[in-house]
Amino acid sequence: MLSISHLTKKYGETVAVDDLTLEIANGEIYGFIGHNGAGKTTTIKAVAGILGFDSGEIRIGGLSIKDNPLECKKRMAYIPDNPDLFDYMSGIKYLNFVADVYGVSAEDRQERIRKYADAFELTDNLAQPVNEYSHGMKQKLAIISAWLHKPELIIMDEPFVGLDPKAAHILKQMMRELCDNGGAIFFSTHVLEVAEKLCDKVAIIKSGKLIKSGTMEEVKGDSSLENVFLELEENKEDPEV
Amino acid sequence: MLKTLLRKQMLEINRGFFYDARKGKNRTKKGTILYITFYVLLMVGYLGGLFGFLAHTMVFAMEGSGLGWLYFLIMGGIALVLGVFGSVFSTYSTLYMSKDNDLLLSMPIPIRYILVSRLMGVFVTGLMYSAVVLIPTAIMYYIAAPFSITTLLGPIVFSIDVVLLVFILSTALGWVVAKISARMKNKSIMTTVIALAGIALYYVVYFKAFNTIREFIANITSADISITGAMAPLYWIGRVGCGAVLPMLVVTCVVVLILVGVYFLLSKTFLKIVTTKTGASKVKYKEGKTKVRGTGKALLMKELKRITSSSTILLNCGLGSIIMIIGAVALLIKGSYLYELLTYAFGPIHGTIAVMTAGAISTISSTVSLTAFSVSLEGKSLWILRTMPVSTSQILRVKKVTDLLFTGIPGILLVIAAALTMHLGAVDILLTFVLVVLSCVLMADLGLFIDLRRTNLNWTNETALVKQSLNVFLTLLAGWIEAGLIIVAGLFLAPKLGGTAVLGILTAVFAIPLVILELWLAKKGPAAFESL
Repeated sequence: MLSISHLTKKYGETVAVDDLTLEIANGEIYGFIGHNGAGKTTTIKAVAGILGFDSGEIRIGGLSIKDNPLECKKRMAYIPDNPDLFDYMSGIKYLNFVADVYGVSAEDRQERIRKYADAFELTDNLAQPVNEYSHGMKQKLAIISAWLHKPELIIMDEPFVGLDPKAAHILKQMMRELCDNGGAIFFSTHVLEVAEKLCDKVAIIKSGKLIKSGTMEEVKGDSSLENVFLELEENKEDPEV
Repeated sequence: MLKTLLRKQMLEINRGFFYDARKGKNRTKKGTILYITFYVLLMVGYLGGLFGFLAHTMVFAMEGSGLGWLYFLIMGGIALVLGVFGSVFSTYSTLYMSKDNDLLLSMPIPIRYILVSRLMGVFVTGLMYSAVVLIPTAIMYYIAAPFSITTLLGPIVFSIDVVLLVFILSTALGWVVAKISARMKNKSIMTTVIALAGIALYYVVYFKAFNTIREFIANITSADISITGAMAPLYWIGRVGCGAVLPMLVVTCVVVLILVGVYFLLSKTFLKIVTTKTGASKVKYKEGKTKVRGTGKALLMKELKRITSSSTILLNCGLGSIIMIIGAVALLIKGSYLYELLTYAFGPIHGTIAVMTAGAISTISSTVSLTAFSVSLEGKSLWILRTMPVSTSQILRVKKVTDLLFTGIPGILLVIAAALTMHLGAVDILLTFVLVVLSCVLMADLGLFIDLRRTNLNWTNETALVKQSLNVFLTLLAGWIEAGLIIVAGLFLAPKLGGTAVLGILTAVFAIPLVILELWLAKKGPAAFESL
């Protein structure tokens, strides 16, 4: 579903992402972990089509994000780490705007809005302006909007930040359901317990370089993901572990 | 602490001088100096020169005949209009709507410091506008009047009083808007209506004062006549500029007293207004019939919603559209009378009227300039458009169309009204129509070009974008130059070459930058947007 090969992104002289290669197949929840400034958000933004990159290739469903950005964007959805939405719209207007742009039919959008807004207990607030929403409510709205056009791939940057435990639980269910239906999810997180329980595969990035990736069992073995991550982080001399 | 807050506020207002938004880094010292010099030259050279010339034409005759006070009164009135007009539309948002309100309130900062720093923003904006009139006024008076300590002090005290009056009027109106709109559901529209009503009231008072002065001048026979009635307070205010000691003391004391009263009022209510999220009752969502729109229409509705949700944008940019619509209606009602008046005064002037109509529309429509900040306005929510399956050229096109809805349509209405009432020939009507549309598209393109080259996505207060940004200033300036060229051509070339020829020449001349901008926007515009 998502293929990142030899991705390199520089900011001036600084190499933010260095020759990163990852494959995310349909049905997989793929966790992306690393310390602050490791290059997670840069990678995610490049995949989402927000950031250009210096070399390498990103393919979504076989299509290059560089050559076919619109087709790629139709197939995926993105949720940033801080959901700055259109504050001047009401929640329902924002959802309808997203649905209009993705060409979701009236019946489908109504059904999905009802389903997800009810699940997140946001239905009553949909007529309120987004600027009156709390951070968690904005995050819920961003999640609903991402699921609205039934994307094949969802890219998320720290999706659990700001969510209450119930909403976090619902999001995990939604992620699993999407992948069980053939979709794929690529997301970054600092909550290693969540990654360990939820992800089929995981990749650890350090200073822009991929230092370990694979199935959860391959990465953590008999240890916990937290231990593996901390060990890898401490091994500063040799990032090529 | 207050110093830090004031520095932050000043930095926010003047960020463009020190920070290159396009490159995402601070300017060099040299670049900052060059930039400030350029800005000062534009402000002082263009507006200052204009008002300096006006002051020069009046000061010698008036001062010589003992009417120095009238000179100050007239120039002070202009400074007051410009200052209030320049700052009042953004007062409400500057005072109460900054994005960092919560952050500052959470810090151990006395509320009065936050208020003072916000007030400083309003003060500086008013000062910037009124100073372009007050400084030349004072300089011309110093040249014309004999030197003494009082004539030296007079213009300084007068300028301070006027600047404080601008500040008082702007903040008082901002407070009224905040109080009234606190419980309104549609705040932006209500704010706009209240502010417009306030402005209308202000202008009624202003023009009444102006009429009083005019009547006074018409009846004047000697400078020594006694000044009584409505003229008396105005006379006292004018005398401040001439250095009369008692008026200086009295007027300044009155101004300071009002200022203290306004500050007291603001300080008592600031926290409540800032922390009241909305007075409107919570609306519970009820599922209704869903309207499905195409991508283009959805984007357009989004742009329109953005504009109508902001009183700052509506007041600063929508006013031009309202004036054009009112102008079209007025022309339909009073056009025949105006036509007779013009032909009586200037003889057969069909061609000139056509060119001047285009010039007038260009002048007003250039004040709209929505595209000059439309990309920057996306701010931190830019990711939404960037991740959607919408081509960048379509996003830019919609931004341009939105601008044209506010300039082109009212402009066309004015052309139609002029065509119906000004006895224009068919070719002149067609060419006026083409020139007006071309002019509106040119300004929309220019604004978009400038905003794409100088995008600022990291703003904390939209006033900084809509009102105080160099993008808007440059677009406005270009609009004035363009409108000025049309008017000059109408006045001096049309009587010789005929209106039709002048309209044709102007259309051909303005088509050149239009084509260049269209090509840039088509070829490099999307890349510029995608690199943000």
